[in-house]
Amino acid sequence: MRRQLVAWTASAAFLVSCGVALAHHSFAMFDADQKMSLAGTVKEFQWVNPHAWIFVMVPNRDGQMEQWAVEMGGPGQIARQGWAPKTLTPGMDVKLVIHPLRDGTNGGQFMGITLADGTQLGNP
Amino acid sequence: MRVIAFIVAVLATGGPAAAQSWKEYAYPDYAFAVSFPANPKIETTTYPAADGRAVPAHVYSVTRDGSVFKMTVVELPDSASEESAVIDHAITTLSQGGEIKLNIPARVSRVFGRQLSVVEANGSRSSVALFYHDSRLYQIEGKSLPPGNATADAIRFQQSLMFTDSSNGPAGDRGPGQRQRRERDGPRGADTRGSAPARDLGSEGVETLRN
Repeated sequence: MRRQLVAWTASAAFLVSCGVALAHHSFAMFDADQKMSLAGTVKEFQWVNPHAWIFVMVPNRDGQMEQWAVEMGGPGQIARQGWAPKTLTPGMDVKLVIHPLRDGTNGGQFMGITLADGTQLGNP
Repeated sequence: MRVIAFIVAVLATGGPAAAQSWKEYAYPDYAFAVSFPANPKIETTTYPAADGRAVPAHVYSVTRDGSVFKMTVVELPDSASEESAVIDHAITTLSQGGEIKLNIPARVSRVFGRQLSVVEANGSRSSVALFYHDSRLYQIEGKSLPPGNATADAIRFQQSLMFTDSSNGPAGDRGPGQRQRRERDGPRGADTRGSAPARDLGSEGVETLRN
């Protein structure tokens, strides 16, 4: 009985996981053929539905700081990949790899991140 | 039992949303939810439809820090309204006085539409998505006004749209076990936390990589 319960729960969890892993929206706005590396400081990590966001301040060519928005999966999805609401806090130095927005504005789709202590998440 | 507890704990982490000041606002009467950085101003106005009629429209907007965040829901009860005509007319209207930099297919849940990037003559940039769903035009627009560069917020806003009618399932990736809180015309599900000022990293932090 216990084994059946575990199996049922695991199956249900798998199905739910598959369901929520379906993207809430299309990602055609991001250029999947391009990768861009950003080195900056976390301004904010928004653990929100339908997608989590990393806001990072990155110096431009003139040395002026610009805000970039990096879109991630949903909270449930990234939690299963090892993320937590406090994984990133304001002021953390990070290196991000993103698929940039096709229109050239400051944003992209999250691919991976390297934290200051060398911790890597995703596919940096 | 530990296996069950682990699975439940992992899935439950997809629960309460947290953001500095953005909150999710649900409008079940119009079957959508969207995030704003402040309480939106809600207005009822008219929208010039493709056939020349002035049809009712509901506008939810916030203007803040050099940005305009606007969600427009246009009632098009006439079944003669064709999706392509509605979307094309909206694109034409949006691009007046500006240049479309990007016009690509878009999808939110099971609703398909268009996504645009528009640069106006004054330098403002808009990130827009358009959908025709259940006899309504949904138009979400995040605009960054010059001389600022708030495109990140504009994108974040535009990407927050969710359809909440039954054909599109529950809003968002919430995981099981979370209490579904649905407030009529009000915020839901957000906490606040502070942010630190940016500091100069001393060199350009952007590098394009080969894929």
